[in-house]
Amino acid sequence: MNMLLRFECKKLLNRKFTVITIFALMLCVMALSFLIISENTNYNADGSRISGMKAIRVNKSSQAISEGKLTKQKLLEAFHQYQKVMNKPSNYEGTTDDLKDEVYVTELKPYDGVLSLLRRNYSPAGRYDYYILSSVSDEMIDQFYEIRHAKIQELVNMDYSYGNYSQTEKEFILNKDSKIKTPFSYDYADGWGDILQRGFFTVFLLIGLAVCVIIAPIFAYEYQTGADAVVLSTRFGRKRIIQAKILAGFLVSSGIFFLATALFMIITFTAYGIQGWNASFQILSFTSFYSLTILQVFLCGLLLNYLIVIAVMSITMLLSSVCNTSFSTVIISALWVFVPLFIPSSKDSKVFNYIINLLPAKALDTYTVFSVYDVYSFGKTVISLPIVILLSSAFLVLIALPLAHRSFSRHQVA
Amino acid sequence: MELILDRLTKQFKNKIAVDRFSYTMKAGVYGLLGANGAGKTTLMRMICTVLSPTDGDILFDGHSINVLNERYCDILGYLPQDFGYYPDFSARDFMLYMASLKGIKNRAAHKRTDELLHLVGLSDVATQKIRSFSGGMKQRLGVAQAVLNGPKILILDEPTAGLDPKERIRFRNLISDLAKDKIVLLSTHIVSDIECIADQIIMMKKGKLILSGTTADLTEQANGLAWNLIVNPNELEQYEARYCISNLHHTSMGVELRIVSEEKPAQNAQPITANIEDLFLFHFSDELGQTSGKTSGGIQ
Repeated sequence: MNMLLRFECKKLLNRKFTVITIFALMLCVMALSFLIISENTNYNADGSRISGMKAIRVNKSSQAISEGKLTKQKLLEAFHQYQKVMNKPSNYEGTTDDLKDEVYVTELKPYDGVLSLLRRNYSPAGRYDYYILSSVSDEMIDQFYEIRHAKIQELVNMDYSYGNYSQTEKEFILNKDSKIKTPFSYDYADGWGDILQRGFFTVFLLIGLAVCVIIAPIFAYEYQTGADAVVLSTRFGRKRIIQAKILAGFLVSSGIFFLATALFMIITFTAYGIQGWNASFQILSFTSFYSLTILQVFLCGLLLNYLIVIAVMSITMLLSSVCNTSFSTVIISALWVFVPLFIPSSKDSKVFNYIINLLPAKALDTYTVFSVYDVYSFGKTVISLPIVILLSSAFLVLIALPLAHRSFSRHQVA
Repeated sequence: MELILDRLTKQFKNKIAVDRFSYTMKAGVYGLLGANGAGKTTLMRMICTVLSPTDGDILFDGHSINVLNERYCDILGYLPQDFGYYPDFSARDFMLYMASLKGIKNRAAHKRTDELLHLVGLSDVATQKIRSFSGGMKQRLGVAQAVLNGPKILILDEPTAGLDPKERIRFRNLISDLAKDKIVLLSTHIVSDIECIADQIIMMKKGKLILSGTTADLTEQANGLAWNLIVNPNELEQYEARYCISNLHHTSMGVELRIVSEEKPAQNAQPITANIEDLFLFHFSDELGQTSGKTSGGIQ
């Protein structure tokens, strides 16, 4: 089996197209990582713009003031600072409403993260009003967490064109939300935010596509080269070879996944550091109802996306076992991965949206998956989106691989 | 050792490729002859388990191969008509891969690979990629992989197709060397290949077995079918339209024809010793686009 497995891996990896695909994937991951890093911006006290690593360093040090538990006292401190800056006429450029650059950078920017959370909390549900803080009082700040929970209640009770939440769904969401530990743990987490919001989805979508391309010939290549006749007439040609192929596909897909993920993480963590790992996920996604830290969401996202990539691999294997060429396999599996990306959410059908949510192009978006209120009801049981993605991916793997096995073992050379 | 094909039938939609084919093979070399589309490849694919019969059964030593399953594949060697290989593999890697598919242990696989690559004359190019091989080299590699497991049944579908005469002779000798104590079933269009190495010849037409026997038996049957005749060049077209002409040679005396016909084609036609090719043409000339040797009536 070892020798068979080694050769199956070699068959997958030796192809010129595989080498090009892996190289292109790594190049894209690197380019994306550097792009994300380079788009970090901040300003010097003199108002000059800085970006990239320099901006990250400045952002990190300036936000240090808000680190720790986001207590009401800390929220008030940020709010009072805001009021102090905004209420001082000399802080403005001439007669305009624009703050002086140096005032913004030195006095307001360090509180930006916390102030943003305050704006999110006091803006009307589903909106973000930048100027809302001018109408907020100390009493409201004092009620920060209660108001947040009420906002989530409001969100689940709203009327939606595609259908409203059922009572059990509302209870599920609110119950989960009430379990979130307060006060939130706050820290500099721009890096984690960039990784989860901007990098994760693209990196894993690219990995999914690379897996489609690399795994596509796993069975189809036998038909394409005509080697199927020789292979199927051998002792292990209808059983053990399939196990070896599946295992080889799994190893190669996993290798690609971990290689690309590691490259992305090495570059981004080197730039941002791991600071903020223990902060509440709500500082990135304020209305998320999951009681998780940023690191937990990151790890859950990794696990989910790995499983999705394995599901993509399994479907590609199934297609490869029924299609006559690698090309047709790549086209069909890539369509399956990519097309949902361009399908907008339905305004009428909740079921449609819930199905689309489970397709790779949507399910790979960890940040959104842990931010939206899409929950699945099966009778009286309500299951959250990440769990449904996990189960549906596992289900796809468990269905597709035996079908691929069956299809190849029953293949007729005619 | 006995391989029985029992009323083996394969139907593709409306076409019956193999029609109730029954035959018993014991150790020896069997040459399968038939025109294109006669069902040779389909028959061989069924014997090699890569195509399921619509009806009938294949029995090895009294046991259905469906029951024997992996045990049957274990004693089988197959070189398909279009030998599929992995272009990016070296000959050695390909042999080792096939060895692992045939369940040969690692050390034995290496030993056997070296032996066979030497036997088929590919030792020097063992580490080269197969994509750089000539047609003959690929065919030799195909035979080497087919005999890796020391099969009791060796199926070779058109193994000499596309080879130059030198390669063909080399190939025939190789097959003869490997055929000892095996059932070797070999199909080809090239009648002389079969005449040289086959102990038994099987003729297939439109999916059916039409004739079988030793080369001597069949040559005996073919006697009286071959004629030699010298005609004027302006009569040639007439003869071509009416008879199956197996050979044509322009000489100073006219055109010398070798005609395959049940009846004497002309008064001055001389009977000559027939061979398997004549018999083949006699049965398949209609499918080969020639006038049938069974046409009656001579030219005066």
